[in-house]
Amino acid sequence: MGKTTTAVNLAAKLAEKFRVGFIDLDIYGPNAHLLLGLPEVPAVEQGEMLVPPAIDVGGRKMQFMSMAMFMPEGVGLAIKAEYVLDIIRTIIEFTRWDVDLIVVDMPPGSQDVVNYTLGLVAPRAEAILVTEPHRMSLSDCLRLYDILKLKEVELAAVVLNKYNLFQGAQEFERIIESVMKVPIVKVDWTPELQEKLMPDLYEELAEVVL
Amino acid sequence: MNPKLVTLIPKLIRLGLSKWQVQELLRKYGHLNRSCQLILYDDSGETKIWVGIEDGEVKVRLGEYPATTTVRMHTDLFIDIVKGRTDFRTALWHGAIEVEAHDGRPWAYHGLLWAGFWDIVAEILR
Repeated sequence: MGKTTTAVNLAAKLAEKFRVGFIDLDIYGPNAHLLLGLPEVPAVEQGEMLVPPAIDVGGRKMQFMSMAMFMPEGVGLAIKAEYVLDIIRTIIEFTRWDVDLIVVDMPPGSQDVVNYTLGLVAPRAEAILVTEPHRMSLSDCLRLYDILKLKEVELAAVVLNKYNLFQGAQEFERIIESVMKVPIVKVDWTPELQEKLMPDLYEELAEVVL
Repeated sequence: MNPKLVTLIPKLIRLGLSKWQVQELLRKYGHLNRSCQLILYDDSGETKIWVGIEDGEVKVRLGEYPATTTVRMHTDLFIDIVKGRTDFRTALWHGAIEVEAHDGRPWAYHGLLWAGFWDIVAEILR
Protein backbone atom coordinates (compact mmCIF):
# COMPACT_ATOMS: atom_id res chain seq x y z
CA MET A 1 0.00 0.00 0.00
CA GLY A 2 3.04 2.28 0.40
CA LYS A 3 2.92 2.84 4.15
CA THR A 4 6.67 2.82 4.55
CA THR A 5 7.24 5.03 1.52
CA THR A 6 4.71 7.50 2.88
CA ALA A 7 6.12 7.38 6.41
CA VAL A 8 9.76 7.94 5.48
CA ASN A 9 8.99 10.75 3.04
CA LEU A 10 6.61 12.44 5.45
CA ALA A 11 9.25 12.20 8.17
CA ALA A 12 11.87 13.66 5.85
CA LYS A 13 9.53 16.53 4.94
CA LEU A 14 8.65 17.25 8.57
CA ALA A 15 12.34 17.13 9.49
CA GLU A 16 12.86 20.29 7.43
CA LYS A 17 11.05 22.22 10.15
CA PHE A 18 10.94 19.99 13.23
CA ARG A 19 13.05 17.60 15.28
CA VAL A 20 11.63 14.30 14.11
CA GLY A 21 11.92 10.75 15.42
CA PHE A 22 11.12 7.70 13.34
CA ILE A 23 9.97 4.28 14.53
CA ASP A 24 9.78 1.39 12.13
CA LEU A 25 7.22 -0.68 13.99
CA ASP A 26 7.04 -3.39 11.40
CA ILE A 27 8.80 -5.71 13.82
CA TYR A 28 8.69 -8.74 11.54
CA GLY A 29 9.66 -6.96 8.33
CA PRO A 30 11.39 -3.63 8.89
CA ASN A 31 12.17 -1.83 5.64
CA ALA A 32 12.29 1.89 6.42
CA HIS A 33 16.07 1.75 6.77
CA LEU A 34 16.35 0.86 3.10
CA LEU A 35 15.40 4.47 2.31
CA LEU A 36 16.49 6.22 5.50
CA GLY A 37 19.67 4.27 6.25
CA LEU A 38 20.79 2.71 9.51
CA PRO A 39 22.48 4.51 12.41
CA GLU A 40 26.21 3.97 12.68
CA VAL A 41 26.07 3.54 16.46
CA PRO A 42 23.85 1.33 18.61
CA ALA A 43 21.07 2.40 20.94
CA VAL A 44 22.57 3.17 24.34
CA GLU A 45 21.18 3.50 27.80
CA GLN A 46 20.90 6.76 29.71
CA GLY A 47 19.01 7.29 32.94
CA GLU A 48 17.51 3.80 32.73
CA MET A 49 15.98 4.51 29.33
CA LEU A 50 17.12 3.57 25.85
CA VAL A 51 18.36 6.48 23.77
CA PRO A 52 17.76 6.02 20.06
CA PRO A 53 20.68 6.75 17.76
CA ALA A 54 20.35 9.32 15.00
CA ILE A 55 20.46 9.01 11.24
CA ASP A 56 21.22 11.78 8.80
CA VAL A 57 18.28 12.70 6.57
CA GLY A 58 18.87 15.54 4.17
CA GLY A 59 21.55 16.99 6.44
CA ARG A 60 19.32 16.82 9.51
CA LYS A 61 19.54 14.42 12.43
CA MET A 62 16.57 12.11 12.93
CA GLN A 63 16.32 9.78 15.93
CA PHE A 64 15.58 6.29 14.66
CA MET A 65 14.51 2.92 16.03
CA SER A 66 13.96 -0.20 14.00
CA MET A 67 14.36 -3.91 14.53
CA ALA A 68 16.73 -3.74 11.57
CA MET A 69 19.24 -2.23 14.03
CA PHE A 70 19.11 -5.30 16.23
CA MET A 71 18.76 -8.17 13.76
CA PRO A 72 21.45 -9.51 11.45
CA GLU A 73 20.58 -8.98 7.79
CA GLY A 74 18.35 -11.74 6.43
CA VAL A 75 17.38 -13.18 9.82
CA GLY A 76 13.66 -13.71 10.38
CA LEU A 77 11.79 -13.23 13.62
CA ALA A 78 10.40 -16.38 15.24
CA ILE A 79 9.59 -15.32 18.78
CA LYS A 80 6.32 -15.56 20.66
CA ALA A 81 3.67 -12.95 19.86
CA GLU A 82 3.76 -11.53 23.39
CA TYR A 83 7.50 -10.97 23.03
CA VAL A 84 6.83 -8.86 19.95
CA LEU A 85 4.45 -6.71 21.98
CA ASP A 86 7.22 -6.40 24.59
CA ILE A 87 9.55 -5.03 21.91
CA ILE A 88 6.94 -2.42 20.98
CA ARG A 89 6.46 -1.46 24.62
CA THR A 90 10.22 -1.05 24.97
CA ILE A 91 10.48 1.20 21.92
CA ILE A 92 7.53 3.37 22.93
CA GLU A 93 7.62 3.47 26.72
CA PHE A 94 11.26 2.77 27.61
CA THR A 95 12.95 4.91 24.98
CA ARG A 96 13.81 8.56 25.54
CA TRP A 97 12.83 10.52 22.45
CA ASP A 98 14.20 14.07 22.33
CA VAL A 99 12.10 15.27 19.41
CA ASP A 100 9.10 17.44 18.52
CA LEU A 101 7.19 14.60 16.91
CA ILE A 102 7.58 10.96 16.01
CA VAL A 103 6.51 9.30 12.78
CA VAL A 104 5.60 5.65 13.36
CA ASP A 105 5.53 3.27 10.43
CA MET A 106 2.97 0.69 11.46
CA PRO A 107 2.82 -2.90 10.24
CA PRO A 108 0.04 -3.86 7.84
CA GLY A 109 -3.53 -4.68 8.79
CA SER A 110 -5.50 -4.57 12.02
CA GLN A 111 -3.54 -7.29 13.80
CA ASP A 112 -2.49 -7.55 17.45
CA VAL A 113 0.54 -5.32 16.96
CA VAL A 114 -1.59 -2.48 15.61
CA ASN A 115 -4.20 -2.82 18.33
CA TYR A 116 -1.60 -2.95 21.07
CA THR A 117 0.36 -0.01 19.69
CA LEU A 118 -2.71 2.17 19.29
CA GLY A 119 -3.58 1.40 22.90
CA LEU A 120 -0.14 2.63 23.97
CA VAL A 121 -0.05 5.86 21.98
CA ALA A 122 -3.69 7.02 22.23
CA PRO A 123 -4.70 9.77 22.73
CA ARG A 124 -1.37 11.47 21.99
CA ALA A 125 -1.23 10.15 18.45
CA GLU A 126 -2.96 10.96 15.21
CA ALA A 127 -3.26 8.40 12.46
CA ILE A 128 -2.72 8.63 8.74
CA LEU A 129 -4.42 5.87 6.83
CA VAL A 130 -2.45 4.87 3.76
CA THR A 131 -4.18 2.89 1.07
CA GLU A 132 -4.52 2.33 -2.64
CA PRO A 133 -7.77 3.43 -4.26
CA HIS A 134 -9.18 0.12 -5.43
CA ARG A 135 -11.99 -2.20 -4.40
CA MET A 136 -9.77 -4.81 -2.75
CA SER A 137 -8.47 -2.37 -0.17
CA LEU A 138 -11.76 -0.73 0.78
CA SER A 139 -12.81 -3.23 3.45
CA ASP A 140 -9.30 -3.10 4.98
CA CYS A 141 -9.63 0.68 5.22
CA LEU A 142 -13.02 0.48 6.87
CA ARG A 143 -11.81 -2.12 9.37
CA LEU A 144 -8.80 -0.02 10.31
CA TYR A 145 -10.95 3.08 10.60
CA ASP A 146 -13.20 1.16 12.98
CA ILE A 147 -10.18 0.16 15.10
CA LEU A 148 -8.96 3.78 15.22
CA LYS A 149 -12.35 4.89 16.55
CA LEU A 150 -12.37 2.03 19.03
CA LYS A 151 -8.93 3.02 20.33
CA GLU A 152 -9.82 6.72 20.27
CA VAL A 153 -7.01 7.63 17.90
CA GLU A 154 -7.96 10.56 15.69
CA LEU A 155 -7.66 10.06 11.96
CA ALA A 156 -5.84 13.07 10.51
CA ALA A 157 -5.81 12.18 6.83
CA VAL A 158 -6.14 9.42 4.27
CA VAL A 159 -3.44 8.96 1.66
CA LEU A 160 -4.58 7.47 -1.63
CA ASN A 161 -1.35 6.06 -2.96
CA LYS A 162 -0.67 5.29 -6.61
CA TYR A 163 -3.75 7.35 -7.45
CA ASN A 164 -2.81 7.52 -11.11
CA LEU A 165 -2.69 3.74 -11.51
CA PHE A 166 -6.24 2.70 -10.68
CA GLN A 167 -9.43 3.10 -12.67
CA GLY A 168 -12.25 3.86 -10.28
CA ALA A 169 -9.98 5.82 -7.95
CA GLN A 170 -12.45 8.70 -7.91
CA GLU A 171 -15.29 6.45 -6.76
CA PHE A 172 -13.07 5.06 -4.02
CA GLU A 173 -12.16 8.60 -3.01
CA ARG A 174 -15.85 9.56 -2.84
CA ILE A 175 -16.65 6.63 -0.52
CA ILE A 176 -13.70 7.34 1.78
CA GLU A 177 -14.58 11.04 1.89
CA SER A 178 -18.20 10.36 2.81
CA VAL A 179 -17.34 7.83 5.53
CA MET A 180 -14.25 9.29 7.16
CA LYS A 181 -14.69 13.03 6.56
CA VAL A 182 -11.00 13.89 6.76
CA PRO A 183 -8.59 15.43 4.25
CA ILE A 184 -7.62 13.10 1.43
CA VAL A 185 -4.16 13.36 -0.08
CA LYS A 186 -3.61 11.81 -3.48
CA VAL A 187 -0.10 10.68 -4.39
CA ASP A 188 0.71 9.51 -7.88
CA TRP A 189 3.12 6.64 -8.27
CA THR A 190 6.51 7.19 -9.79
CA PRO A 191 9.25 4.53 -9.98
CA GLU A 192 11.75 6.87 -8.35
CA LEU A 193 9.89 6.47 -5.06
CA GLN A 194 11.37 2.99 -4.77
CA GLU A 195 14.88 4.31 -5.06
CA LYS A 196 15.16 7.52 -3.08
CA LEU A 197 13.46 9.92 -0.70
CA MET A 198 11.15 12.40 -2.42
CA PRO A 199 9.82 14.45 0.50
CA ASP A 200 8.41 17.23 -1.68
CA LEU A 201 5.79 14.81 -3.02
CA TYR A 202 4.46 14.66 0.55
CA GLU A 203 4.36 18.39 1.22
CA GLU A 204 0.56 18.47 1.07
CA LEU A 205 0.35 15.61 3.57
CA ALA A 206 2.79 17.37 5.90
CA GLU A 207 0.65 20.50 5.78
CA VAL A 208 -2.51 18.52 6.43
CA VAL A 209 -1.20 16.69 9.48
CA LEU A 210 0.24 19.83 11.00
CA MET B 1 30.60 -29.14 35.76
CA ASN B 2 29.11 -29.98 32.40
CA PRO B 3 31.96 -31.63 30.45
CA LYS B 4 31.03 -29.69 27.32
CA LEU B 5 31.85 -26.48 29.16
CA VAL B 6 35.11 -27.57 30.74
CA THR B 7 37.22 -25.58 28.34
CA LEU B 8 34.88 -22.62 28.10
CA ILE B 9 34.25 -21.80 31.75
CA PRO B 10 37.90 -21.01 32.57
CA LYS B 11 37.96 -18.75 29.51
CA LEU B 12 34.90 -16.92 30.78
CA ILE B 13 36.52 -16.50 34.19
CA ARG B 14 39.72 -15.21 32.59
CA LEU B 15 37.62 -12.81 30.54
CA GLY B 16 36.48 -11.31 33.80
CA LEU B 17 40.03 -11.07 35.11
CA SER B 18 41.77 -9.83 31.98
CA LYS B 19 40.73 -6.22 31.78
CA TRP B 20 42.82 -5.54 28.71
CA GLN B 21 40.71 -7.99 26.71
CA VAL B 22 37.43 -6.30 27.39
CA GLN B 23 38.15 -2.68 26.57
CA GLU B 24 35.61 -2.61 23.77
CA LEU B 25 33.05 -4.23 26.02
CA LEU B 26 33.57 -1.63 28.69
CA ARG B 27 33.65 1.20 26.17
CA LYS B 28 30.18 0.27 24.99
CA TYR B 29 28.61 -1.08 28.15
CA GLY B 30 30.85 0.00 31.02
CA HIS B 31 28.42 2.62 32.25
CA LEU B 32 25.85 -0.02 33.00
CA ASN B 33 25.40 -1.54 36.39
CA ARG B 34 23.78 -4.58 34.88
CA SER B 35 24.23 -8.27 35.49
CA CYS B 36 23.10 -11.47 33.87
CA GLN B 37 22.50 -14.91 35.27
CA LEU B 38 23.42 -17.15 32.37
CA ILE B 39 21.79 -20.59 32.63
CA LEU B 40 23.05 -23.25 30.24
CA TYR B 41 21.05 -26.45 30.21
CA ASP B 42 21.10 -29.87 28.62
CA ASP B 43 20.25 -33.44 29.59
CA SER B 44 22.91 -33.43 32.29
CA GLY B 45 21.37 -30.44 34.08
CA GLU B 46 22.06 -26.73 34.40
CA THR B 47 25.26 -24.71 34.64
CA LYS B 48 24.86 -21.24 36.11
CA ILE B 49 27.27 -18.44 35.34
CA TRP B 50 26.92 -14.86 36.53
CA VAL B 51 28.27 -12.14 34.25
CA GLY B 52 28.03 -8.49 35.11
CA ILE B 53 29.48 -5.04 34.88
CA GLU B 54 30.09 -3.55 38.28
CA ASP B 55 31.76 -0.18 38.73
CA GLY B 56 33.13 -0.25 35.21
CA GLU B 57 34.59 -3.75 35.41
CA VAL B 58 33.43 -7.02 33.89
CA LYS B 59 33.02 -9.71 36.52
CA VAL B 60 32.29 -13.40 36.02
CA ARG B 61 31.33 -15.89 38.72
CA LEU B 62 30.23 -19.50 38.68
CA GLY B 63 26.92 -20.13 40.43
CA GLU B 64 23.71 -18.27 41.13
CA TYR B 65 23.75 -14.60 42.19
CA PRO B 66 21.22 -11.75 42.06
CA ALA B 67 21.02 -10.38 38.53
CA THR B 68 19.01 -7.87 36.56
CA THR B 69 18.36 -10.45 33.83
CA THR B 70 18.34 -14.19 33.36
CA VAL B 71 19.44 -15.54 29.99
CA ARG B 72 18.70 -19.22 29.40
CA MET B 73 19.84 -21.32 26.47
CA HIS B 74 20.87 -24.85 25.60
CA THR B 75 24.51 -25.63 26.26
CA ASP B 76 25.03 -26.69 22.65
CA LEU B 77 23.70 -23.34 21.45
CA PHE B 78 26.09 -21.46 23.73
CA ILE B 79 28.99 -23.49 22.36
CA ASP B 80 27.81 -22.83 18.80
CA ILE B 81 27.73 -19.08 19.52
CA VAL B 82 31.21 -19.13 21.03
CA LYS B 83 32.57 -21.15 18.14
CA GLY B 84 30.98 -18.76 15.63
CA ARG B 85 28.57 -21.28 14.12
CA THR B 86 25.71 -18.91 14.95
CA ASP B 87 25.43 -15.61 16.78
CA PHE B 88 23.57 -14.40 19.82
CA ARG B 89 21.19 -12.11 17.98
CA THR B 90 20.12 -14.73 15.44
CA ALA B 91 19.48 -17.23 18.23
CA LEU B 92 17.60 -14.62 20.26
CA TRP B 93 15.28 -13.62 17.44
CA HIS B 94 14.77 -17.26 16.47
CA GLY B 95 13.37 -17.83 19.95
CA ALA B 96 16.19 -20.16 21.03
CA ILE B 97 17.26 -17.92 23.92
CA GLU B 98 14.99 -16.98 26.79
CA VAL B 99 15.56 -13.59 28.39
CA GLU B 100 13.83 -12.70 31.62
CA ALA B 101 14.07 -9.26 33.22
CA HIS B 102 14.05 -8.77 36.99
CA ASP B 103 14.07 -4.99 37.16
CA GLY B 104 10.52 -4.24 36.04
CA ARG B 105 11.45 -3.54 32.45
CA PRO B 106 10.30 -5.56 29.46
CA TRP B 107 12.64 -8.40 28.51
CA ALA B 108 13.01 -6.73 25.12
CA TYR B 109 14.66 -3.72 26.79
CA HIS B 110 17.52 -5.99 27.82
CA GLY B 111 17.32 -8.02 24.65
CA LEU B 112 17.84 -4.94 22.48
CA LEU B 113 20.46 -3.35 24.72
CA TRP B 114 22.54 -6.45 25.36
CA ALA B 115 22.36 -8.14 21.97
CA GLY B 116 25.63 -6.57 20.92
CA PHE B 117 27.25 -7.31 24.29
CA TRP B 118 27.06 -11.06 23.78
CA ASP B 119 28.46 -10.85 20.28
CA ILE B 120 31.50 -9.12 21.73
CA VAL B 121 31.82 -11.69 24.55
CA ALA B 122 31.67 -14.51 22.02
CA GLU B 123 34.27 -12.77 19.86
CA ILE B 124 36.62 -12.46 22.83
CA LEU B 125 36.14 -16.12 23.81
CA ARG B 126 36.89 -17.20 20.27
